Amino acid sequence: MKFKDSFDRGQLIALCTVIVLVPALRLFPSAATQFAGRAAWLTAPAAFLPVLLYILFIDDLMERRMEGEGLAELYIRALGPVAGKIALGLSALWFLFYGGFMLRSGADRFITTIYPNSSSPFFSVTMGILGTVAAMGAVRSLVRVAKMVQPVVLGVLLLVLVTALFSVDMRNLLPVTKHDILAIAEGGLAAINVLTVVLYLVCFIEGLTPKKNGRVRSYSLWALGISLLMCVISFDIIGNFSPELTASLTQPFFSLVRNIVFFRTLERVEALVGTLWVFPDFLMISLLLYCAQHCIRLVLGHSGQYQGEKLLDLRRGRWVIPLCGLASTVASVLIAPNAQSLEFWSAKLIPLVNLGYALLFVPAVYLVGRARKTL
Amino acid sequence: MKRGLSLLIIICMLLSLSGCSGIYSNFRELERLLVIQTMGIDYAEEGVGISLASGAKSDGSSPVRLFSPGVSVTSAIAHILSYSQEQELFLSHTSHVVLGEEAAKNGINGYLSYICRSPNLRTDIPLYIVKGGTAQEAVMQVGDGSKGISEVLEAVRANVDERGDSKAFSASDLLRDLERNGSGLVCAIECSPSIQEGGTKQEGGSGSSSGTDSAESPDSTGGSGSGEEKQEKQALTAAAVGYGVIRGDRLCAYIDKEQAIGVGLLLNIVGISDIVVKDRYATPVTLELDQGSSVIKPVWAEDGSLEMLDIQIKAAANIAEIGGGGHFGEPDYEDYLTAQLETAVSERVSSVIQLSKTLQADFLGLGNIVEMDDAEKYRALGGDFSSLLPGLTVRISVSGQIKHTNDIRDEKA
Repeated sequence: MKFKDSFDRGQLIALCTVIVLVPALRLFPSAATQFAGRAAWLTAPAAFLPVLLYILFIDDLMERRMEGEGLAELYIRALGPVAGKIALGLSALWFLFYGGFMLRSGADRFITTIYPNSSSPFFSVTMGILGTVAAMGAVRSLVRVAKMVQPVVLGVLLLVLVTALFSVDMRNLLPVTKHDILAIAEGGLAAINVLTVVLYLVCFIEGLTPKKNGRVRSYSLWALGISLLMCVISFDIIGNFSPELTASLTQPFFSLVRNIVFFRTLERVEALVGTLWVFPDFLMISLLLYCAQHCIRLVLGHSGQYQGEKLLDLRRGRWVIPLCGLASTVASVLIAPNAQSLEFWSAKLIPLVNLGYALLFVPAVYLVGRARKTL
Repeated sequence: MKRGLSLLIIICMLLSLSGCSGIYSNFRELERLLVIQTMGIDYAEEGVGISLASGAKSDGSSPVRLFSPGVSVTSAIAHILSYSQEQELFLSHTSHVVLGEEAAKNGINGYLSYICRSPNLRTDIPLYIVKGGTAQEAVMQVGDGSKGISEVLEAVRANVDERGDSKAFSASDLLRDLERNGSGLVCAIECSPSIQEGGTKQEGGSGSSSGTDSAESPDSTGGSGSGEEKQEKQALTAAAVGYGVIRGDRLCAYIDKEQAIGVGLLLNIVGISDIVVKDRYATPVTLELDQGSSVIKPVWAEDGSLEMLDIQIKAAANIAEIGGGGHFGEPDYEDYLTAQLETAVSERVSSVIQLSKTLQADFLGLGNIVEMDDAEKYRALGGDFSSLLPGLTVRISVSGQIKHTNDIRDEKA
């Protein structure tokens, strides 16, 4: 019996929700505050409109797919076999690089919040191995994991956010004036960054879902919910720490968790909460590795989809998957030997490349495809 | 194969989750940890002097106290660990940080940076300054045989939360105020002999009886070594005595307990404070101020400049005590008392505002209030509100109320 790796859009949205929590907590609070100061809590709602436009674009692009096609297959169709394979190669490189960065920043979070004086390669390599094993299996397993951990992770996040609301100082959040509009728009780029990366990544696995209407509605509601969640996250963090301190903290959310005392008895729960973020990390890295190997296998002339192969079956180009895992893990060890250089990658390079990919690269493929009438 | 692999994974998980210290390197035996609850920071020639104190032990023995100087906080703590009898210092439950006066005068940015950077300490940890003393003195000497500085500071914190004459601001509060206003407040404490009966502790003995465990024998612990014979000494306690004002990153002034009531009213953190006034017969009357609030309103000139600050204060008090009985049946007696209350409150608020103007230190966050009122006009002021303080006109009006005479039915009441 042939294995069919498929799932529905609801499960896909669950995966989006869980993986967006990685950049939403790592990048967004500090980055938005560095631009917008005390008005940073308004940047996520402000970013909703541009994200909505991006969703409309993504919908128009993905509406042109045929049954079983994802964004990778659309690249080939839009650009032709040669340019398409180059685009896929570049995409795979970006995903491997981004995966390496995710491994490194996840390890850094562990070191900063739970295991001081530890070495990051241990965490990077462990997560790299787990991600590689997951990428060698079905995407369906990933979305099921997302569906299962989503209520736990969101439940804990909401508990933290509600508890932290009681210690918010409004002097840290107001006043916001018309002079802040430009700063809010600049800070909104951080929110756009967080949301667009998830939106284009899931397009690579959308080929595993049946063609169905209502993409704009599903993604818009999801983006609205996540924008509001990010708004509350910044509101809580800035309201507790002040914009000045938030901008200088590397993990403000986990510093907030460290300060929280539940019912005057339970405190120092940051290890428990921090550990939960293993799941979003794992899903994000697995998805990136899956997308990378999918692109490379298409370049090599194989189908990138999982068809029920055993874990150690390396036929049909599956030998690429462990190599992808290895490449990302090596990248994670090499890219930022210390926290200062990681800050540069985290705050400058990665967001810039990501925005370039989301807002220039993907639309460029679409425009070429439309011009060539292949889309 | 799948079954074998699953079994292997389960065995690995059992080994790693069972707490076997040989496999799980982060494993720590609870009994071996010394849980530190109070950290004292002093200025020292080498750099910094660190004092650490645990909480009182469940068996009634006194808390462990440790001290060491070092070139930095981290090196001092490492030195303490090396030269004490403790296996591991657990700093994650540190609940109070005490700064010596000299350390605060020499700049506290480094210490605040340590608190924020440390993975062990919380950023909302309350700070205290030892007025006229050192943190070492507070940490090593406060307390008796069964209580130490940690328990005393817990009591201080509960006390200041209830009363309006101080507040234990946290490290993150101070950092925010220093960044935004250029100055901030820290709860000031004073070490003085305990008046509690039996509040003595034994000194000069083996050291273990006093619970003092000094990594580098501190001169103030009495452990100078004469001590074959134990001597009884009045135990020290710590009490809140208002605030220390930090400007830039240095301690520049103190606000005493009386003035601190004014700070509480201006910051709208009013607790229960006592104010002693005199009635029209010069009899002392103790008023218990238990409610109060302030509204600070900037008055803008037509050209957009800040004309003055209008501070309206409401204060309500109960009569706690009247020496010699009240005269509530007499006309205007209550009005006179109310006027006395208003005067007393006005004096306290004025003195705090005056201090802020004299120091050019906006530790009350007045700039923030002005900005909240009209952000556009505030921007036009140029941003540095502290420099405007000396020339700023401030109008203070107080509306007092005597609410209750408690359980004595005075004539008019």
